Amino acid sequence: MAATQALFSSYELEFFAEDETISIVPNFTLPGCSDNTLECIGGAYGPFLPNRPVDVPLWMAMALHQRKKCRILPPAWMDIESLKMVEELERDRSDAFQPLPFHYLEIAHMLFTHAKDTFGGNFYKVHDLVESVRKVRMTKIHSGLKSLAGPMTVKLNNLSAMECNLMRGLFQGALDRFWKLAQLQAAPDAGEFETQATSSPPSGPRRQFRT
Amino acid sequence: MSIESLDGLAGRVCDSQPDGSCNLGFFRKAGESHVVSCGTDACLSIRSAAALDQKPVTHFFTKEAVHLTCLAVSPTGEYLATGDISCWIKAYKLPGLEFDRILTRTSLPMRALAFSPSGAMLACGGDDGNVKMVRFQDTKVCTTLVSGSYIRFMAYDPKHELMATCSADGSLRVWEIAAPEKKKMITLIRGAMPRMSGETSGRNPAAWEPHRGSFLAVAGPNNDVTLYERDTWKPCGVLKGAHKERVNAIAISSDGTHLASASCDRTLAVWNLKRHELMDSRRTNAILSDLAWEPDSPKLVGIGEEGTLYEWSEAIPRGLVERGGMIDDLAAAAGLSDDDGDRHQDTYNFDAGASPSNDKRPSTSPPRGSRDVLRECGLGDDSGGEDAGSLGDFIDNDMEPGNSGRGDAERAARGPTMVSPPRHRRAPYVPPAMQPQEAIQPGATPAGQESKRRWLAYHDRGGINSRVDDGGFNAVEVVLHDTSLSRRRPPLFNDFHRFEMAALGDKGPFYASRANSDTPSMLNFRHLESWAANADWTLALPDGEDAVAVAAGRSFCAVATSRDLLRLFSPAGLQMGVLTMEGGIVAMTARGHMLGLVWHSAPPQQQRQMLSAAIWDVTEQTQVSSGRLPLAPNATLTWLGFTDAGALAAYDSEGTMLVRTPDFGGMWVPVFATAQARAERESENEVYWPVSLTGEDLVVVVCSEAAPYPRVQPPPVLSTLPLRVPTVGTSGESNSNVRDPEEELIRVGMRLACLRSRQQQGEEDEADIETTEKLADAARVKLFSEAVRNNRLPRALDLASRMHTAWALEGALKLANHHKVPALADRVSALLQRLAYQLFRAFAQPATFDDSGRFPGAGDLSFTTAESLGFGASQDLPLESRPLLQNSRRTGVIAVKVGMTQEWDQWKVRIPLTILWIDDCQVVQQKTQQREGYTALQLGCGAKREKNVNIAQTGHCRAAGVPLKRKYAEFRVTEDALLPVGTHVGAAHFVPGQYLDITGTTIGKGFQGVMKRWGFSGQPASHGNSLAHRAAGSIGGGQDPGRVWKVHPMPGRMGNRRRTASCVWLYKVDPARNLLYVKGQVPGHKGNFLLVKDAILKKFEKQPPRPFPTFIGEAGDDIITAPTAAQDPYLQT
Repeated sequence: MAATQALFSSYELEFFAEDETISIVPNFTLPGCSDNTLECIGGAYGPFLPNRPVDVPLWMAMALHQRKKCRILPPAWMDIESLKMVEELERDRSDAFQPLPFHYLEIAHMLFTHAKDTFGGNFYKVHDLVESVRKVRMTKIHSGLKSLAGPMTVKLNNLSAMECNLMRGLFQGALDRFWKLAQLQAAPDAGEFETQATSSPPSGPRRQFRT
Repeated sequence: MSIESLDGLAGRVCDSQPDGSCNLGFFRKAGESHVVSCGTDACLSIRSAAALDQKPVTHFFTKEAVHLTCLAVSPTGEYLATGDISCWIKAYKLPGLEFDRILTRTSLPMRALAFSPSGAMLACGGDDGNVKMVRFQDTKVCTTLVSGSYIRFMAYDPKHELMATCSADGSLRVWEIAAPEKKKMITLIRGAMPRMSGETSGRNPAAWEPHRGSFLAVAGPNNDVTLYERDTWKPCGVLKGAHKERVNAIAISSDGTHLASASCDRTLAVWNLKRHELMDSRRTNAILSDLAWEPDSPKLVGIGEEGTLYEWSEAIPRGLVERGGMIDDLAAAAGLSDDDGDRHQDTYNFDAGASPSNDKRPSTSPPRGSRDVLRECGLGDDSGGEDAGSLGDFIDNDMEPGNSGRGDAERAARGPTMVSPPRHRRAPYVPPAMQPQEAIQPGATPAGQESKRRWLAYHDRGGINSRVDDGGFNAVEVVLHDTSLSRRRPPLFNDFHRFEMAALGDKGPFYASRANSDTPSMLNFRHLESWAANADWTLALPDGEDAVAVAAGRSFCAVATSRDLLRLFSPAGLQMGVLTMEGGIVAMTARGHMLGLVWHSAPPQQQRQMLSAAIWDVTEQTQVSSGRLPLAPNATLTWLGFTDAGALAAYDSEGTMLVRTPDFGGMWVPVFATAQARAERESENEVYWPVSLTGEDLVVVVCSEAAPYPRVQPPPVLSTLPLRVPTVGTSGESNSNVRDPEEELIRVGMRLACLRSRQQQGEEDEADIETTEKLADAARVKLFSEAVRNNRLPRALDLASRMHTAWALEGALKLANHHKVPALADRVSALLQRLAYQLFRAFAQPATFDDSGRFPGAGDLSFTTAESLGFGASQDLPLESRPLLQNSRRTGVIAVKVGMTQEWDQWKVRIPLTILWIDDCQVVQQKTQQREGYTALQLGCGAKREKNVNIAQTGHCRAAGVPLKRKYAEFRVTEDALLPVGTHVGAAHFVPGQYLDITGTTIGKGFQGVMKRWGFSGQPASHGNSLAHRAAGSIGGGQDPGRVWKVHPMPGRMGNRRRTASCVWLYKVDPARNLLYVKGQVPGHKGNFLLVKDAILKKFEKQPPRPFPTFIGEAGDDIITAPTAAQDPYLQT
């Protein structure tokens, strides 16, 4: 019923992710600007000095990178060692997700598609690791969903935007369905259920569910 | 290699294993110690520890004839376990070396074996990354520790609770192994050891304290031995200073008092573990791959990678062993050093150049107590066995040509020298004499790192990297950090000269190569951009001259050569100079036209490098500064550069950054300490590789101890670390994130001094200095605020008195008022007033209005009495330090009207001027409240001959002690402006731009009508008017008031009256001739006397600060003009 109403497209999510900050190493100065900083609507970024790392939003990093004006530094979590550790921990601990940036998939996707040279020779390793982390998490989500039966409290910490988005539709639909089934139990009269099912949104008490 | 060599202890037989490592162990049989050794020749040998140079007691070839990688002797001395390259772990019975059993087999070769303290378990670790723990009894693998990386060493804790495993990636793991089922990794310390590649068989050794295992010694990442405390696993000691490369073997003596370490730089060191200090060190011919102490004996035995056994029979001084290691080295030696003090010099000379003949002692000096020999029991000693003498003898004869049965080829292979000269007895440890350090190239990384690429130079502007190519050349790449500096990207080029040094100048990179047997040392300069095609140039240095350091600035390139010559070139290749240096150049750096140099001014003394530093201006060919560069003892220079203010900065191997300040004739200030930065960043293993310095920060590449140099790929990223002069923390706040303003003040002061000295050379512009001055004053205001808050008023006033800008003083004044400290506020405002006047004095130009139309510092003097300042009465102060208060009234002067002239200002605005001459104006009399009932000064001016002066006036002047005056006048002043009798008041009493009241007698016009006298219009010329053209007309009303008003303008005598021109603008002051140039006209004839005073109608703050009570001192010859309009008044906007 409400399966599609709050879903974002992956492009929209990528757009949101562009506000995340990332370190770049500029290779230019801004002689006209005071203190080599850029005054934007969202705030001042800089100072941009050659070979000094500076934190900027991803969109700016991408724009500068496209003009060959900077080198993007891979974020700390995209280090091979830490990715390996995350992957290992993800595999080991089936009950929890590892803390990764909320937009980790979007950031990774953007860097992989538009700024491959960020990773130098490690591109494929990092790419594979991120991919496998994603898969492991996805598997965990799926297996978690399988075990989801009936009204219960589901705890999903550290879920990223993309993964939330993926599950949102399913969860909404499923929870609605559960609610209806519970209604059915409460009122065994099938005819009443039918009339309730068609009326949306349900106005009955929702105390059984805490999502 | 011939087959005889197999009779040696553990000779290398297989050349396909060039990096073979050998192992050894001790065991005791029948009360006698034996050494068992193995190596790449698949052969196990046992020798008596007392006669290592004898034939082996047992010599046994393993059946498979494969490289034995590791060995362990069981604690009971019954069994020997070996691991070989074909992955078998076998046990042999001692001492006969009968094969006993196969313990286990692994998938990859084992690199380390260790018996548990009881001997029940054997741990095996190796390339597969697992540690198998095999029960010796039934060869059952009890447990496996998954360590994850190439294992290079293991060590059982003597209590059999813990086990340490060392991996090739430099990580140290400690496992709990008390029960096999409860194995657990307790700690993992990454980077505890040097990182090496998995292919090499180098070791990362570790050793437990032998009694209780209270600490673990491992080879540290910084060419040291690190001691980790048990349970906390924090480093509790670092043994460093003896080795220049990583430590390859460690052994702790059985009493736990001494530790021996052998390094890849072929040094062997013995350390005292109680005091963590170096006791003695030796140099060996080979890299030792294993070390062992003979149990309960001071004897140390090592085995070289090529299989040579080394014996050091008194590695611990005998006295120390007998007395339980408690005796101080020096004390032990004090009683012995009576006769051979002259020999100590030779004793520690382990240079490779020492020939065996030098080692011969004079026969008159018999050997005494001479077991202390580091002996090398090399290959094939079997034939020399009969003359190899007792252990008490030196084995110099071993080196005598023809004495042993060795072939010439063997001797050549073994190297030219014996390792150890003879020693009579133990002397206190004297560190080897320091050598003058080699020349360094700032910003270069050493060759021979793991990758083939290295930085030849890395500056804040860019870097030059070189990649060793297989085709006989290097590929050199220039990387500019700011790519807009050069329009085109500098092309990669193939370097067939194999340049070793490079510097990136403003115009382009400058390269130099070293000479070798075929080619001389080459110099090469490449322009980044040039208008001509063949701008680059290449030069060869003369034969026998080798480049040691290069530098390139904006207008020159410099190369220092091995003949202590400094050659200067222009970027176009013109030779600009060939200079002889006092000593070998250590480092050079360039910035703009400046060349910074550091050279050896003397051989090292007292463990210090004796260095001198200088800055030259190459275009002017002048020396800007020079002096000693004081490095800490044992430190060497590792980096040299310029700060952005143009001061020389040096970074030494101890991690201290020094910056030269011109203060005190040129001193060096420590601005950065690595240890402190590490503590602040909470990262102990960081190494900072400096790139450049700004006023506040050090720009570095952060590296680790394991890899102390930046790599080429990925490109290094610069970080900034705050500079910190080590001030004593006074503020009580230990928050390290907040900068101590006092520290900042010192740093900014340094920078200011540097900028000022450069300004004298015309290098720096004013704006930079002003900014820096503001920075300094900002810090002072911060400190001032803190001092006022803490009620430390003298400190606050001290700070205020050091402020340079009116802006800061005004801030201080506000703070003082805000905190309601009037005493301080008054003092600060007096300072402010003084400062404003000082500015006027210093720059010989009057103060200008600020934006609000006031003079700086003039507006906040709200107090009106001198006492309110808190100084006490102002008249009690010396004249020079009295403040000008709002109600102070200075004296005026008597001037002579000279005449009028005109001038045009910078905008060509005509200014009519009257010139006033203050002719020898002097105070003749003080009139005081007590005597006269008012305060005033009588001044006299001009000169009069005595015959023309009446007696009364003569007496008056004589009493005052002043010459006879022509004209006297009295000026009412306030009490604080009273001047002593005889004081001269000249033109400098007034300040251009101020306003004056000028009183004099106007020119007499005689009887004049109302038209001239009062400006009446007169009456019409015609229309019936007659005889009344210039008449006044009506002078009053009719019946009421019935009279003429008293003040009615009427004809009469005009002029010749005392008049005051008020608020006359003073345009110019000529203090040398005592002339005032005032704008416009003043009353009187030329030659008339005038009284000139400060304008009373002008508001206090509209007047510039004036000298109070008068100008004191020499005024100088400068004619000072008031500032005129800042903008062109004729400009149409």
